[in-house]
Amino acid sequence: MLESFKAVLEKEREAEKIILEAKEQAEKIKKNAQEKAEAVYRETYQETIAEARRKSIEIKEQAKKDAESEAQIFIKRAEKLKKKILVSAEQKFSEAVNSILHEILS
Amino acid sequence: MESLGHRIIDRILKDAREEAETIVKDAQKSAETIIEKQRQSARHSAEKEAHSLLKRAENDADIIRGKVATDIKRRAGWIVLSEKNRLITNVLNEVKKRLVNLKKSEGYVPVLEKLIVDAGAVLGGGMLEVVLNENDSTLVKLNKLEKKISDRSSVDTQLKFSEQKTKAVGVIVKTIDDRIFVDNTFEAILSRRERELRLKITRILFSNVG
Repeated sequence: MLESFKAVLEKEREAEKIILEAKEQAEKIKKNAQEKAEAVYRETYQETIAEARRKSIEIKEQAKKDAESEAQIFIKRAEKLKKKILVSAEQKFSEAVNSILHEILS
Repeated sequence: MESLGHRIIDRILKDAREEAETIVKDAQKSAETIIEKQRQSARHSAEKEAHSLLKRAENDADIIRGKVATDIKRRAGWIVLSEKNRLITNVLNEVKKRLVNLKKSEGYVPVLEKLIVDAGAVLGGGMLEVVLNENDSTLVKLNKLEKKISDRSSVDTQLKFSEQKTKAVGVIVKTIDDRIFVDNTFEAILSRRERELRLKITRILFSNVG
């Protein structure tokens, strides 16, 4: 009978040890988590800002690209007008030369 | 009795192991929660700055759009303007060429005389010197021009050829004291009137285009 109680007491001590070890492990896990949390905060913050910066660059580049594409119409119009101007100038070249000569000499 | 003792012992260890497992699992869950909360907190805190960055980027994008449009419109305007300028310059170059060639034609002497009279009248007559190029001095008779200048300026006028010569085509007339002169060489006339002539050429060449 005494042997049995002794055995129970021994196992209870073993059980306490198991729980104590578990508690220590739990504390360690929580402590690690606290430490890791700071790094996670920093990294997540930086990633979010970096992502916003990437998007900012994209927005600006896209705006430039779109604006350049939209404004090409003005270049096309100018090139068309340039051709008209050349035709008109060729037709009226002699008239202009004679008129200026007349202006200077008369 | 022995069997009951074994059961109690087994139970004590089983319960302890289960409790230990729960303690560790809870700790792991708690750790995950802490990390996730920090992650969310970081995102939340960064969102304000990120939002501000994106808003600034949108504003910058508006400015870029405006600047690009202005630059391209300016470039388009420049394409037209530089072509007009080139064509106007072509006309002026042709005019210069013809003026130089005029020297070889019959019409040159009357033109030269007119330029002398105009310059003399601008100077208000009086004692004047006429600067010509080497060849032209023999072409002009000054005495008949003196009267014309006198008539226009109402001042008695005497003209004489200057010893000074010009290489330009046309004439320079100056007062005898060298203080005032009128440069009526073709080059000077064109230069003096370039702005006005360019406008006139513009009207002739491009009146029917935008």
